[in-house]
Amino acid sequence: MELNSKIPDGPIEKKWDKHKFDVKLVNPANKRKFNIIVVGTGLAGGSAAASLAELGYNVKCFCIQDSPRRAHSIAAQGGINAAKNYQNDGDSVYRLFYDTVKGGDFRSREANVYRLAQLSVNIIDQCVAQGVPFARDYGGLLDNRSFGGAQVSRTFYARGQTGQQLLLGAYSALSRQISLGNVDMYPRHEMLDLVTVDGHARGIITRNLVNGSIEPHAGDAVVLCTGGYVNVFYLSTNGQGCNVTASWRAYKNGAAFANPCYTQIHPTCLPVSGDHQSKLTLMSESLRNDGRVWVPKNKEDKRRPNEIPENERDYYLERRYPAFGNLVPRDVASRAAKKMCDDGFGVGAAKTSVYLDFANAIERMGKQTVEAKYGNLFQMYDRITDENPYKFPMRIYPAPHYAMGGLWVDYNLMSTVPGLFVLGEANFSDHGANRLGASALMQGLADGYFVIPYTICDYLAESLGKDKIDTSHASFKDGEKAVNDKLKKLLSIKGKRTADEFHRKLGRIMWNRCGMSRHKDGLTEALESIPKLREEFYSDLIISGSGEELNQSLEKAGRVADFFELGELMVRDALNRNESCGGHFREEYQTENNEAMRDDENYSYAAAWEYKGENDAPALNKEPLEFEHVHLVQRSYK
Amino acid sequence: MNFSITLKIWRQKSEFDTGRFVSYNLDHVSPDMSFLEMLDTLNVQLEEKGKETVAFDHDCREGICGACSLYINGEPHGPDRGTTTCQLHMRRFKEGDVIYIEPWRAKPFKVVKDLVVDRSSFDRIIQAGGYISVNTGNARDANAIPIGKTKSDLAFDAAACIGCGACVAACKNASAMLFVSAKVTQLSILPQGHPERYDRVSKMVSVMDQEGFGNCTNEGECEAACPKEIKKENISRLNREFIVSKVKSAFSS
Amino acid sequence: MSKNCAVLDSSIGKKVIMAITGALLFGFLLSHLAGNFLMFCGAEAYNNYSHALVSNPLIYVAEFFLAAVFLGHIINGIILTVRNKKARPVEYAMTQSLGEKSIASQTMIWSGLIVFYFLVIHLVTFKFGTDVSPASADGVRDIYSLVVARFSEKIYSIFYIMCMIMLGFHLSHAIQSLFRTLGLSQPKYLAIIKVLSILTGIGIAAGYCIFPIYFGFIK
Repeated sequence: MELNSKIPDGPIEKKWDKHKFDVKLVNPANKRKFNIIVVGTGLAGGSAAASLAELGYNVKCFCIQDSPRRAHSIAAQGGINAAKNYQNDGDSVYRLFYDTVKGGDFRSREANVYRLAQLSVNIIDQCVAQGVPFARDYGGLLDNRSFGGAQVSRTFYARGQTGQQLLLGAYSALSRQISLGNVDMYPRHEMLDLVTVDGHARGIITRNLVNGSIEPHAGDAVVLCTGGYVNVFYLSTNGQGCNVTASWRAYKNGAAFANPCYTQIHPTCLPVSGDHQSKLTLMSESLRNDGRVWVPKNKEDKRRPNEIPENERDYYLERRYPAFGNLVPRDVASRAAKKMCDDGFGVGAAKTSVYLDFANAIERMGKQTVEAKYGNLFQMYDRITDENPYKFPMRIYPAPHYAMGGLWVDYNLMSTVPGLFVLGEANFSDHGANRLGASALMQGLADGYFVIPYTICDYLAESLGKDKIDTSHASFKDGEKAVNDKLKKLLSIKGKRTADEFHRKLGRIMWNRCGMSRHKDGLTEALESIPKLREEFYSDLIISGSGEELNQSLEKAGRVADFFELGELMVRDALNRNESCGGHFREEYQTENNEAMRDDENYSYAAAWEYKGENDAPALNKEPLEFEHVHLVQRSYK
Repeated sequence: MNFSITLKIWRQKSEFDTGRFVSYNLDHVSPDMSFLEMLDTLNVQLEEKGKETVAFDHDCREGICGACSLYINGEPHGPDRGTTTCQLHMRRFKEGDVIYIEPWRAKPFKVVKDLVVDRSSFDRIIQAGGYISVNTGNARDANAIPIGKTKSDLAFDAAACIGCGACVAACKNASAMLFVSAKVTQLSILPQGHPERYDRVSKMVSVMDQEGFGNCTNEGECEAACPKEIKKENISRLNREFIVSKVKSAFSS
Repeated sequence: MSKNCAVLDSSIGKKVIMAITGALLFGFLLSHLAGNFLMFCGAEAYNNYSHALVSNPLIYVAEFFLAAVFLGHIINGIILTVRNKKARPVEYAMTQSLGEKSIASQTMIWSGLIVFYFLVIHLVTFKFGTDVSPASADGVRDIYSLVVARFSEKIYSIFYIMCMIMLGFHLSHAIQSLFRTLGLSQPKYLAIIKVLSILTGIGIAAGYCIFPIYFGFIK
């Protein structure tokens, strides 16, 4: 497999402008002739579908939720970065670019990140124009805050609901295009296969989740915006419906999957309370702006947190990282919490959490100010844990949150399957091995609003005048049959255990062996236990109901089946990467101070895995990462 | 302390089925479970017995996506104020409780299956005009239009709507006016929304009516049920915007 | 025309009709009540006042207008109620009141219909009723005696009082509703409007009840 990243030549700050000029154009009359399939309606999908429709393409848009407004982007809390430098504190496109590459532990593609930083400013303009109610100061201008891993205030926010407001902005743009007839919207439809003809993506097969009908949809290009896959861990901050199925079926149709082992574990989540737990709740990282993280110095300390005097507390982030303190990047903060708990300093009944304390902040700013800033988060904490965070410190623990890995894409966001584009969290491109806070929203919207409308032309222009393919083509019949067979297979097992139970077990393996820290031995073990569990899955699964109706058990089973395969690939990738970087921490590769130790000489590449068939190991393809502007250093937040 | 409860759940095969309550006993309910996790537990038990699971909408389970619904013991999203079903916890209930769980009931919200209803009418209302017509790339600098904090906060309060439909479920007339008014308020307060202000309200109300929602009789049930605590004063604003819109159009050529 | 009809047929349009006709009817109630108080100024004053009213040729215009407003309010209210019922074809097994749902707010259609029934009886009894004493030479009806005679029947007085309580009930929700429907209720005045609405309901009911109580039970 040839990985051509198609990075334009020239100086980094000119690459995108030059590229925009160089790409082929499709004239307005011809745009009408193209049908584009967009899967997913989160920030990337919603913005892409709306923007492409505005340009004149015929768009078909799909989502598994009952409404495009419910995509999980809606749950993002903290904010969105943009290099506006409204605060006059030294921010710039270059600094945002630099911070993102460094934050990603030097495992992202420079050119993509630079473009992202450039586009960040347009996103804010666009969203404000749509009526997104960002926080403002009394003079009526936009407010900013600083956010995990950044020393400048460049984060725009809408209380603790930034993702919601941005998504509703994209949803409103999408709704407008639906009403104009430019987008056909298919809610409650799940993509179950990619259809390729002569190696090009030409359509998808979907299942109508309400009545179970399997439907083919043809298009001139397919744009996947189907989000991340950390639900492979079972417990994560993702929505219950988040899954890897669309990406995974694309992978099995020839799209390379890059860096699957790069998963982000978010430091400020609520700890697990019991076996019944279905998800982990995240609380915005902005809490770390004013909250202080600590554990008792004495492992055996049984006192309530408020009774422990200052000098017997270990504010370990402030101690270990004086410059960034509680604001170190997510991977660093998460690992530090894990280390404290592993070493026996954890708090709570199971000793698997650390304190996040607002006592100082309340003293300094007053309860009212704290309430104004974080009220909704405090309320959420209280509601879930039944503890009052104004009186006692919160207890937090890291949880899987975001997947930096995803389908490999070139500078045009096109995967290794021509005509298949991948946007947002579903692709691998911009965050390297670790994503900085408030960057996911930025990437999703940059890809959808400002990148794909330009780059898709380059592909479409070439297919002008070629034969149109419709759903009567044999490939669609094959795709439908494959999907039907797979569903029948799942329904016919009629065993004893639910998909949920298998998922939980898989999640436990993934979390223990391929979670916050990994070791060769554990990974090797996982490479045996996952296929074993998968075998049990295919022999002992039970699904009630039929395939011809709304059947949430069947949906779940199909997604878990794909998580099994993805899990194995993640482990394989983690095992291959003999270094520690960002979210991928191999215990064997750490510095004396327990910091991640990269191996730039051998692993400065994106690992793009290629599917080779049911019974063959996937092939590893390497895209070397070249750093011309950012100097490779060991990350330091001291 | 774990406890036992009795659930009376509305089961309905499809839109065309009539539906009925089915009773289930559930033991070992932990007070730390969320309400939906309690239903997950029931579903696992049902599935292991080869019975059909109870279908219900849910996704984020952190109170923001608006997917979860459920009319619990006569209250949309259950007994806690300002809380979605997914954030309701079982510590709110006790040993021996009988819990009625029904779908949202309104003519435009057809039951898809069991507790799942079709809320696409909300999407159609937004499609009628719940947006600002600005194509990608047409925006001015974000700080070019200063918006006072009071105004922007007010717009935000309305924009917090998650489109779950609890307002419709709670209203004795199944009126969608709180939902519609939240969007109308957000976009009529912000200067960006002014060019389409009156056209928007007129179109949105028209589609709301076509969908078959009832009418507001100013009883404030919607506000009390709203998990995002959207204020009913928005409905007053909606009325005002609508009246002005119609008066304006009557006097314009 | 069809465009304007559509406005009147829209949900908010119908609410506005209810509010405006309601406001006019409220105005009528006030003026009627003021006229009633002439009862205390003696038979002559009251009879002359009522004669002045009916002998003014404009009365036909006013009556026609008033009838139209009444009918508009009633028919519109019935249509709204039917539509609202239709919006929820399947009822809940269990419901709880969470907001400001009150007995008054939930029974507007019934209190309204009772008041309408009262209105019919009221017209039959007084406007078209048989006088107890003949009219004077210049045609002034002795309405005063008719009223006193009717109110001295305890059953009639009780019926009257009950209906006026219904009217008060109706008004206690109607007036605050009117402000909200017309978009006049600023949040800061909401509490005051609610209290005023209830007080007005009580006031009007009490005002009208003075007469049956006075003439039926005291005098």
